[in-house]
Amino acid sequence: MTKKESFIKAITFGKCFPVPYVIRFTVEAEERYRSFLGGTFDEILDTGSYVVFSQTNSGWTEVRPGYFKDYFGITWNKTKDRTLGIVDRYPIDKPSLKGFQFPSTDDLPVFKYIERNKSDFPDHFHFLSIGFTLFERAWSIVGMENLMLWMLMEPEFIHDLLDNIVEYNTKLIQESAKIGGLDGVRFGDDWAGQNGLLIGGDLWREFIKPRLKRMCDVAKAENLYIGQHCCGKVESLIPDMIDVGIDVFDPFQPEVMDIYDVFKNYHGKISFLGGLSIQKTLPYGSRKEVSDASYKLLNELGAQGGYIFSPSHALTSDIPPENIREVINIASNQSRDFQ
Amino acid sequence: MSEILEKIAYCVEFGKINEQSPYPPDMKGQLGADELTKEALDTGLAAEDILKKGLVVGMERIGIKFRENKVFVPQVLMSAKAMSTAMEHLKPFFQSGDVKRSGIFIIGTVAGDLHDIGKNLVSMMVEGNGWEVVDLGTDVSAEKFVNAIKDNPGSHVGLSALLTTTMVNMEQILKEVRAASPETRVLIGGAPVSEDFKNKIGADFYSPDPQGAVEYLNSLVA
Repeated sequence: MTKKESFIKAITFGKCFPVPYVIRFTVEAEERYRSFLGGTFDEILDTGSYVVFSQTNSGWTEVRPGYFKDYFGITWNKTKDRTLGIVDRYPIDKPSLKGFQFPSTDDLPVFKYIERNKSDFPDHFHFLSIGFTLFERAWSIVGMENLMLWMLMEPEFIHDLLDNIVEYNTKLIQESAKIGGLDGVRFGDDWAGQNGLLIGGDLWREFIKPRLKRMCDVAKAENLYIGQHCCGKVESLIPDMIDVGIDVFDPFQPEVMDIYDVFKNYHGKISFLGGLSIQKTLPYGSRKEVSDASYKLLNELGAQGGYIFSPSHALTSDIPPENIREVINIASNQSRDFQ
Repeated sequence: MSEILEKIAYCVEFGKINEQSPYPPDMKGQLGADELTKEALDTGLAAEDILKKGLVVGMERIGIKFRENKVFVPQVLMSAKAMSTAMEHLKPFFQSGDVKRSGIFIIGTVAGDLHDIGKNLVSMMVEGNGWEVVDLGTDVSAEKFVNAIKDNPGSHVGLSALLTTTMVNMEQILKEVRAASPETRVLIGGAPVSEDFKNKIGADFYSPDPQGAVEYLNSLVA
């Protein structure tokens, strides 16, 4: 069975051995780990991850040192955080789209990544990863505070803004699918903080859910599986995610939800990717604690199907390299035949 | 509480800025915190009472609801807008010394971290509860915090961080603040921050929500 077949089997609730896994790095963490190993390191080949991501968060243009322009023409300051960064200046400061040009989906850098991954990793599960999908794309254009205030004060404008973003994403998905080789699309949108939803369930269902459903329908029409990334305490939206057709949810953060309960409650309806604490166990735990947490996830969740083993986010630079090596060793040397 | 003060508190709690504001929809066309504050001053109510028995009461109520996940960030932002609009009318009374703030709170996101949503929420809630806030912004060095404390004697400090990679910088900042100003209370917060971490580095207070910070600060001046 190829990695792609195993991954699909697992996210469609089949029991898989070994349990498929994904290990990703922030820019800073990958550099530190490479240095620890004293040589070269490749995130896909040297971890044995089952998934390759063709990302819209790559291929941005550096407009001055440390500042990058994304596909929407928005400049991000990556001088401190080179993986994500923050918006340097929001292009819209009044509730009007006048003068703002939504980008074309012609000839995007991500299309080249899809071609390359299709040819380099034909046996891996291949995600088109749309970072800053909808809610985040909206705040990257108008700012977080304006977005939230205008949801209440200028709802028609926000509906219009979000519709334009969905139209762009729809074209992006369809154009990407035409290239071939894709197995899924992964949406990235953080709707929650550590203690709860940012905008609450009511506004989320008014502004986000119907549009998420539209994007899911477009992806399903292209025979793509759908992943949804959302950090934070987002458990209350899982039934809605199931409702719109999400297949696999990440990062499944153990600090903000009882992941074992959540898995049990929704098993067979949505799959989960993540679960290994990026905020506690990995940066502060001993190797033994990392190992125990990893085996617990593999044994109790992985064995049932519907689970992909992974840290609960891209690995960060404060994680001891020994703990990273432990996770990679455990994931890539699974010895128990769950079948 | 007089009827108009309760109305002002209600407008702040529900984010009714002024008569023109379309939010909340069920208060369309009604007077907001803006007009009611002016009216209260015109009728001779003391600015101090308008602040402490009207505006602050509304902010306290929204802070508690936010902590209990009964409202979310957009509603808190609306309350803060209503509050700050009303505060414009009180500015002259602060300048003349007729109304005094509870104290000065210095806040910033720690060095290496550029995220500001959590910091801004805390800043709004603390300010809305009668404190003067000195917001140092993001990526703030220990030196900047120490200088701000020197410029604002008797102040307290809040350190914010979103990431585990930047949270660790709180420890160094705390050390330098302690060395320069042992009496300054240091509050910490942010997604990965915890009570355990607070104890480990020896900060004075941790809260997972803005209202906790408000209550702690108020306890210092009670």
